[in-house]
Amino acid sequence: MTAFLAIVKLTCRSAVRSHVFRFLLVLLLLSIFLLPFTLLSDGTPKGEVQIYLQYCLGFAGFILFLSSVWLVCSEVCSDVETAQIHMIAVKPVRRAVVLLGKYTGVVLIHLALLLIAAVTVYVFLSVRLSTSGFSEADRAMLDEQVLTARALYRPVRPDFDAMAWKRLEDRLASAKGHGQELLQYQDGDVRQQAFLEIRKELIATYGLVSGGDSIVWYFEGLPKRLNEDDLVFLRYTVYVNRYYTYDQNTIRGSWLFGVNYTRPDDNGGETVVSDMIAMQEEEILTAAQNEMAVPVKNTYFVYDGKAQVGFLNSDTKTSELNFEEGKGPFLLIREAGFFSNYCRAILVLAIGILSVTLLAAAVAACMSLPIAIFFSAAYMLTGGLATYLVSSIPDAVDFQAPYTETFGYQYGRVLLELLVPLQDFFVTGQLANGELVSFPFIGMLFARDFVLRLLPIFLLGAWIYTRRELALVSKRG
Amino acid sequence: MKNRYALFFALLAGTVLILFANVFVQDRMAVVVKEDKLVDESFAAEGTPPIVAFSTMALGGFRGLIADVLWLRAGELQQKGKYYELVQLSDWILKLQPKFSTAASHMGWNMAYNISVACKRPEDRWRWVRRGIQLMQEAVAMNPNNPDVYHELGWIYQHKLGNVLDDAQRYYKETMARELIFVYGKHSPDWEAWAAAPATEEALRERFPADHPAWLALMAYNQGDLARLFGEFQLNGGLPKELKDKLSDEDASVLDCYFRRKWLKKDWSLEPEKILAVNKAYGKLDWLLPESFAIYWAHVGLEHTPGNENLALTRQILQSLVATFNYGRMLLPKDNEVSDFFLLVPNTDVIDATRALYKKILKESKYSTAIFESLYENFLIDSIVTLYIYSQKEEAAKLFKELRTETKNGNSRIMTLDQFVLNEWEDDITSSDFKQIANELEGILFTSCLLIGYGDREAAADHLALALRVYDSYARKHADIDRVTLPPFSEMKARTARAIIENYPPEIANRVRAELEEDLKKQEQQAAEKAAASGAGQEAAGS
Repeated sequence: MTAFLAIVKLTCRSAVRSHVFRFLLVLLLLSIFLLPFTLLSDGTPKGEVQIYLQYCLGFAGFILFLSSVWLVCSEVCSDVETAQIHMIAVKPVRRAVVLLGKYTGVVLIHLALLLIAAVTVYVFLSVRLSTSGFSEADRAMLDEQVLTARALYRPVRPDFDAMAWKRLEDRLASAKGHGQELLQYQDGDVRQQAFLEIRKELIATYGLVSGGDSIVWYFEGLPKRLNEDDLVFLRYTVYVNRYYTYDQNTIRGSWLFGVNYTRPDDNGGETVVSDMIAMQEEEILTAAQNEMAVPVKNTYFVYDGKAQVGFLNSDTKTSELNFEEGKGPFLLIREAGFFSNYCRAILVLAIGILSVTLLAAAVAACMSLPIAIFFSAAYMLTGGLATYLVSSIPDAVDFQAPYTETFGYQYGRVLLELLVPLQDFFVTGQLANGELVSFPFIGMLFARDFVLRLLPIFLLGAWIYTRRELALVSKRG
Repeated sequence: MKNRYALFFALLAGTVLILFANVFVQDRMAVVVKEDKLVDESFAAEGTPPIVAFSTMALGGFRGLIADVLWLRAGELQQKGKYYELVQLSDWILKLQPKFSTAASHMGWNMAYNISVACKRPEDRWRWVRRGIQLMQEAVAMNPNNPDVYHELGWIYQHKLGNVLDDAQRYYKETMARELIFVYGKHSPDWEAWAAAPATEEALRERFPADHPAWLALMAYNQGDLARLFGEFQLNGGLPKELKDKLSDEDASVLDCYFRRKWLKKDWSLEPEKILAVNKAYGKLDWLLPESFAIYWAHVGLEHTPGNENLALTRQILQSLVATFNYGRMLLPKDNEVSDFFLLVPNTDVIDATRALYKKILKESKYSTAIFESLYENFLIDSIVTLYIYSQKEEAAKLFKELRTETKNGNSRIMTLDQFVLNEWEDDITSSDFKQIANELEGILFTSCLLIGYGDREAAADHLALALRVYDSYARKHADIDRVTLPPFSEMKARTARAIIENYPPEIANRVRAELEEDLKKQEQQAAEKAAASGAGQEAAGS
């Protein structure tokens, strides 16, 4: 343990002396102190706070990631390349302990810097809020939509598979009823093809509401105990017509909200009555994200963790409205305070530092400095590109996409299973949008990225480090 | 071997010949580069902006890649409705790729048009339109020889702010005027004084050397810290009283003009010298209105194009001039104080420039001119009627003569000016039904009363005279049909005046009340008599 602590201490000392580390430290300070004065927001108080949170924390995190990769690679590789490792190797210290000590030293120094950055950004934000002179209304909006931690709930997705099979069976039965035996559908491939077509059609038409029609979404898993004063928000984007475009129009419609209340029954007990109430018809902008507070007291609206939201399209002039899946409606419910959410975002960044340093340490244990840095950076960037690849081909999930797109999508999925995308650790966007960074998410991130994906790589690296013929490498260097 | 030497000498001779020929071509190329505006003069004179130079040097070829990534992110965020980052991203993209004017135009247009209408509150919409304008101003600074960016910037002013297609268009006009009047200090600043004022800090220091009383006053006020003083100036909309009291009137005026022109340049990228040039070229414009800005940018853009020729910019000037002619003067209830009760009235100062531009286009057009001829004729007719009812009958007579001689308009050849103007209205009267004519009359009366409210008595009297002529003409034609008889003229006038008194701010209401007091009293008296008569009738019927 003494040896381990000594290595940690030496690593910290050596890190502080590194020129690159000092340069990155200056960049970090600049990002915290100067960046807020150079950022351009949309000019609204909300935008100002959002861009401040997202960019200041994001930049600080990015620089710390870079710094930790550089430093751990430098600490591990330079010892080998300058033959300093022999000084340690002759002592009764296991090489794995050396590697772990260096890793711990770099992590500790960066966690300390992260803490300083986080405290500074938070203090800056608090000072800015108290001296900005925002109006009461703006302040209230900030408290409701940004300086909060709202969980986002999606409506229950219908079982499209079951619906598609049922529709196919119904159609075949109907055809049979009319004396038409469709024998070709007994073939598995043809049957599967028909199922996929129907499924595709069901998904595409799921969120369509014709003029005069209505649609209802069901929400489950909402918090069972809500604070009476807390507001529930509804977020949605609606488009005109089936094949949506980004052209904006104004349409008319009414939102419907499920309400639940108790009524005395004939047996002297109470019965829960569920009903839908319609709000006043309003003008709605299409192809734009809209958000509104649910105008029903949440104790009536959310019952037993469930809620219902509907929409009546009273605009008979437009052919149909499209609530495309994935773009709402969502319910947003406050589940924690801003400070708590802020700490969680910092915790995620801390996990990020732990993870990238772990990867870089593992790679540095068996490669030279430039290759180790390049490999670590390439690993992270490829993970990031894989995320982009998967998210840019959404149709491949539900539809029979062209082969190239399906290949790209599946390739991205495989990469995502193997690699750790850097952006996983940047939840500053969520923080700036007032969205909850939940503990299950943090736990999942830690377990999946750190424990399952990077720890085995580190262990492999440590094993190679213990087996590696360092004298030859030093001699060559 | 011989052949090899021959080839070598032949190549050498060729090279020398080409280099020699280059001596003659080089001068010509330098002239072409200058004439065809192939380099940015402002960049050559002042050097590349530091941020552009830095990004070019530091990032090299990676600039494009980074700009691509930022562009993709901007698109993704917009689709998600997360707009707050877009200003920053657009700014970075512009700085990374300053010469990619198409991208800049798209981003500016996107903010001013697409994102603005995604907001419900007019103040939020205005913010996005303003951001779009600011981005385009920067794009113009980066691409001073590119006519497209001038056109795009002018288009936002002309179409988005000047037109009436956006629900918040009145809010835009009001806010723009309010912001500008704060910069100008008053509705119509003395542009010549602004142009004569020092344009830079160095020029100001030359004007006020270290021993000049004005500079000593500045030193006493804040150690000559002009940057801090500029901040205070922007906050208060003028020089601090403490400093102003220590300056002579002339020095205070110079300092005031210096800060105001600096402010105008910083926020709106306008320069008083160019404003003077635009006023000289097109007539006195109202610089609170977006059309004036559209003309400004198109005019400056034309100056930066080879041969000062560009069809899109010329058309933009023409369209904006026509809009200025129709609604190019802003009347305010209180002098130098913008409110949402502003009134837009024709600006007849631009008629000559508009006519000249029409004639130029007709003369130079290589294609069919029939549409432009018709547009020109209609413009002349509108000008004649407007000048006539805005107390400029001599000018109207001149244009009437031009209409007679230069167009194929038949009526102008057989009618007098008075007949012609009334005929223009009578055309409407003849083809209008009772409801339409009542509306039209009310419209003229309303404008007349409003002009009284805004202090333009002469124009108000002319509108009233026109309304009376239209009324008489209609009454003559429909005298025998009871069901389409209009109420008495005085009653219509009093009713309109009362509507303004009840709905408009006190400054306007008081002027209207004072001017039309007799008509109002008369109407009240008539109404009371009518009520008394109907009461007596009912009593009689009851008994």
